[in-house]
Amino acid sequence: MAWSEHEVASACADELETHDVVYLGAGSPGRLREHLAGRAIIAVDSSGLVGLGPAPRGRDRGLQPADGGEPVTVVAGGSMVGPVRAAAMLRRGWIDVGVVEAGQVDAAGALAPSDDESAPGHLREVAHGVGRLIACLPHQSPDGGPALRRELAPDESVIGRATCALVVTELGVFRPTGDGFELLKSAPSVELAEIEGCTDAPVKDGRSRQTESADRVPSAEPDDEDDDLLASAAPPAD
Amino acid sequence: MSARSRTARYLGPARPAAKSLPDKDCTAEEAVAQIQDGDTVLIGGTGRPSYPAALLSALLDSPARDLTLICLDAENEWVLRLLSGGRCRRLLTGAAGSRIWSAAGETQIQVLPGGVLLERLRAAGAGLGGVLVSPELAGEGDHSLTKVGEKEFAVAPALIGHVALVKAWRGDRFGNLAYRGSLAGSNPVMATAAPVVLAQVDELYETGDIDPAGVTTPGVIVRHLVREA
Repeated sequence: MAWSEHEVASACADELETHDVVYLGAGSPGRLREHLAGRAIIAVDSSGLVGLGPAPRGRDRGLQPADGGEPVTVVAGGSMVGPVRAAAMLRRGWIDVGVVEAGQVDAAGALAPSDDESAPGHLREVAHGVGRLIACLPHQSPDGGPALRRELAPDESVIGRATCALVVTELGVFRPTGDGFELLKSAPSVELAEIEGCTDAPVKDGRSRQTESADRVPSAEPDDEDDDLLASAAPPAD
Repeated sequence: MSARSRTARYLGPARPAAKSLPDKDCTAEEAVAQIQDGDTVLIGGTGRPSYPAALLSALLDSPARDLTLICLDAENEWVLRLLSGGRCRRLLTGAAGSRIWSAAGETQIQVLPGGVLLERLRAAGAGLGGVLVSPELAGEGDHSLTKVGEKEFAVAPALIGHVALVKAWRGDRFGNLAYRGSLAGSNPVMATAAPVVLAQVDELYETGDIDPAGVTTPGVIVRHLVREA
């Protein structure tokens, strides 16, 4: 069974390490902030919120809308330094990990933006600035073709080879190996054959060295109220 | 005195805490142990109250030598004593009076326009390669020239240090820094232009007890924090 959007976010969050400073790109990576509770991880967004917390609950109205119009909170120890400094922090190399939404990735770690990506230049900024890039994308493109491909044409990719360290889809967590993808974790009851069937590159099974995903306990299970809030979120701002 | 905040919480109900963020509070001696021989040290502040005095005193007492100092104004007792002690190889500054020159000894002193010095540091802090300035302001040496429209500019390369010593008004244990008054001058710029940032604060708060919107230097870039002695 494929992961839900929140389970994808939770799988991304599991790839982060204590004390990581992580940049959350526009769109689905924003959901990660619901899955960092209780962990010493600082999430940064393009508006310059350093220490992005989950959506506000109850009567807490949160801060000014961020992340495509959703209200957000700032964790204790967070700061609001503004978009100029957020971009400066990226360029300066202060951000350890970036999580971005992508359209397609290839086995060499090159990345193409999704069709509705409004800011490919910003995507490039993130990819060049962070130490480690995690791409979040549906396993199949909107046109039905595979999103994990052997090789992207140079005119398709905005971000060069070997920049993307991990790929997370609703079917599993993958590492681009140059000639294919290594499956590190899979969604419950998803077989390797099923993944191979919808991937345009060889897939090697590397799951034995990882924790079984079925045993994984999501780090934060949002309640129904939050699900409604997230479902009604506006698309990323232009 | 307790470091507990005397102020109200700024954002209404309890914040979801980012658990176990590191506590960076330490002594000035522990902080300046980060400075090694040969390092480039950025010193924030202009005018006596805005210098990180505790950190500078600890630096004077430390064994580090062969230093390159970068500061907006060298006219202060700590730089003077570092120079006369033969601890510096080079001094890059916006202002150096006769006392500094006479204490220089072997130290190579370069005086730049203060604004250009700050812009070069700011560029480094923003991950840029440098700034374009009027050729007359670029200082000694060869500079590559470039035209923007009709006007000619010299490329002033970004200036980056190893360690920055800065002073802030308020800080929390995670290292978030807020400035006020003259502290807000060169200190926040210096705090971006070195990988190791050592900060001295007037008031220390528990993590989460200072206004996130008032923070200029985010805690993630600060290595150690020292309370005013």
